[in-house]
Amino acid sequence: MIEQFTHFFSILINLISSPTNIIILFVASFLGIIFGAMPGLTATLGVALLTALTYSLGADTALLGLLGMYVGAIYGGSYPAILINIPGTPAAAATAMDGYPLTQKGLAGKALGLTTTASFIGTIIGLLFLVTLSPLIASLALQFTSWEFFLLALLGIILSGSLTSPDLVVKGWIAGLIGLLLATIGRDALQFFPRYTFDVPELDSGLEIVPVLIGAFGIPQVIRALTNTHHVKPPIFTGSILPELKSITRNIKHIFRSATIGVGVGAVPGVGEDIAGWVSYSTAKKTSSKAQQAEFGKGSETAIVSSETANNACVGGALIPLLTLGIPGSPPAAMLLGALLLHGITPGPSIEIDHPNFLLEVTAIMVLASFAMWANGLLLAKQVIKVLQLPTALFIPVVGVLCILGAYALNLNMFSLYLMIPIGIVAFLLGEMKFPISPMVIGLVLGGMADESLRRALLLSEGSFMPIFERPVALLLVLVMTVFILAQFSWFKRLFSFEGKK
Amino acid sequence: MQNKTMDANKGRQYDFKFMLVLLCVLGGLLKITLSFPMSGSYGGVENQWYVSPALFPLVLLILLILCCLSLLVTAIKQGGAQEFLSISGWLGNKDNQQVRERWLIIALLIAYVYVYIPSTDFYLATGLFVSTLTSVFYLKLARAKSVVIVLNSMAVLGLILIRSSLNQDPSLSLLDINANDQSILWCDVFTTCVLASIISWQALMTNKLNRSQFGIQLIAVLIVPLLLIIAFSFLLFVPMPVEYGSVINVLNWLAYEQLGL
Repeated sequence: MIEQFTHFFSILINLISSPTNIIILFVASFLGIIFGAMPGLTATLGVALLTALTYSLGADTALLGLLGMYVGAIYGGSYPAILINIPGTPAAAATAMDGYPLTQKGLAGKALGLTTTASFIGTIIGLLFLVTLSPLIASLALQFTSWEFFLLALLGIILSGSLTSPDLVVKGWIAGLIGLLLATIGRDALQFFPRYTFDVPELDSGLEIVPVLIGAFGIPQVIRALTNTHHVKPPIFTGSILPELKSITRNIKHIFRSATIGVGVGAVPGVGEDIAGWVSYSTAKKTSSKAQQAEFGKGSETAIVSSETANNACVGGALIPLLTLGIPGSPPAAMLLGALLLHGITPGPSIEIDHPNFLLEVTAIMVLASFAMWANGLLLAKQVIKVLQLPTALFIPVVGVLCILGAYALNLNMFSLYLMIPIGIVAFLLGEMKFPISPMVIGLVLGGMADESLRRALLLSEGSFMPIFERPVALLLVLVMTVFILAQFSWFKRLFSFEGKK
Repeated sequence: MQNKTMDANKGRQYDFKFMLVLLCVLGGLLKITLSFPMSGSYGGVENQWYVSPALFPLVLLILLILCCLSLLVTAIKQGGAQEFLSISGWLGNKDNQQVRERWLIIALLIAYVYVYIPSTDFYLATGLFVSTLTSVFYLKLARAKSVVIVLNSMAVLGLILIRSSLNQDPSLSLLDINANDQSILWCDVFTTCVLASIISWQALMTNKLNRSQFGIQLIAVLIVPLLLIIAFSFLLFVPMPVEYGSVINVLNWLAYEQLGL
């Protein structure tokens, strides 16, 4: 344990001893806050674009920038939520409920101070869960066979499809299955047989994850942000932002509960920070005293602290399945997975064997990222607000150009650009028809693993499905999946409500 | 409440149409998948059904078809089959400004990626793309949409014409990057003319009140793409999608021959 601590601090010192690293960390964190704060830009898009820029850097420096951007963007969404009642990212939607009423009372500085410190604490608690749970999950996952990996991928799609669908649940499943099907394009890993390549040599190696993700998240954002008819007034803020430590101490129990909720929600594949924020907000309301409950929606500090702690704790939660199982917990984590693969790091149960001390390195980077976010939040808030004055219609075309450059820069292939546009248009149309995009992306990321695992498992069992029923974890996964699927049918719901009434 | 029901009804109509299209695509994919080796020998390997490359896609296709049928039935039950034959039901209400603007952006993105970038200098292509979008959405000039549609249609047709008339190898497709020096030069000249037309038109249309807006917009159109190219090419050493063109050549000459980078 002491050795681990010593090693952690040596990594930390090593990282901060390089001035380049410090500059990259603070700039990425500041850019992240801007990406989060600008309505129309998202954390996923920020991580995607930065992936292209950090491609030529070393893995730890690139990760420093990417995690700085991710943590900053999740926090940054709270700025417009508090100042103009428009959440910069879906993750900050719950914050707007009580942040904006505080601004109307002339307490914007207090609200921003609360979100800054709550986000910092949330990230740190999420990180503690990451560092304690990851080695346990990774060592457990080392016992997993191909069956468990196949079922985990399938469960990821079903959970993410069920929980992120804004309309019917079946739409989420369709999106996830489309993602899995997209992952089968290219030569298959076992027999090298070309599948759906239509004699296009560029498709032989399958769809490149990063251009597809930039297309799926960037292009719809560009189209929607430019045609958004909602007039956004520029935010105005005078005053100062303080850490609000007294308020934080008053809400300590809400902070710990919200952080746990954030980590739990973050660990569910494909379910993002927005759900963590809302779940935590409603739990905080339910568990508060009557007097506190009456304050919710009118500028309650408990509400702000709860939603902001949860959405930032979600970052750590999303990294747990990513690093230990190779399954991203949220859309930005899916993008992060793409970036790690580009740097030759394949997350999964054997990560500590392939890259010793990688988990400690991520932990150290997350500590630095949360500190950079906190410092930027307290010191540079006014600069962020100045950037927010920029009209959306002026910078979104430039973001469109950055998407093009980002998609091209990673493999210097025009085909990536040609692929990105139809994917972006399809993602936009799917979004308009209320199909969630996250399950599709998670499906694309997990498709290869699911395909290989299924066939490898059947190869070992000579075509028998019986091992599923002989392995407790596999059986548990099948049961959870079955319950989730059956729960969508009214007869199943009736059956259980009837049983309950009896 | 009534609006909500109308929206839900409209949503089901889109679901119905999308499911029909998706089921047709899935049918086609199923046909292709059934041609994959199921068993027997492929590449010297004795195949079993459970290692067939068709196994996973077949499982997915069956699941997808089942989900699509379930959604199709739900859509039909909730009135999704109405307006099946109306074009506006497929492409969105043509009288809705937001819908028209969204199709305009999609068309511009297609023109930018599939025609402008492979044909002409990246800086000029980007300037044209950005200036078109800022004319409509930032400056919000009168008749902006009609003007940019005409100018961009001219640009697309002009570039295709130049490339097809000057291309020595007719087998090369439009999506291949421009490989003919003369064609590149003429494409650059033509794109510069279209870009200059847009900027001149913007200058004519902006009144004293939005002069500063026009100035800021010029920075986004002319300076920002230049900064992006410099940052990517000379600081991050990431090449542009196309490394030819008059502006890129001048920048390369400046950076490598004059500054000795």
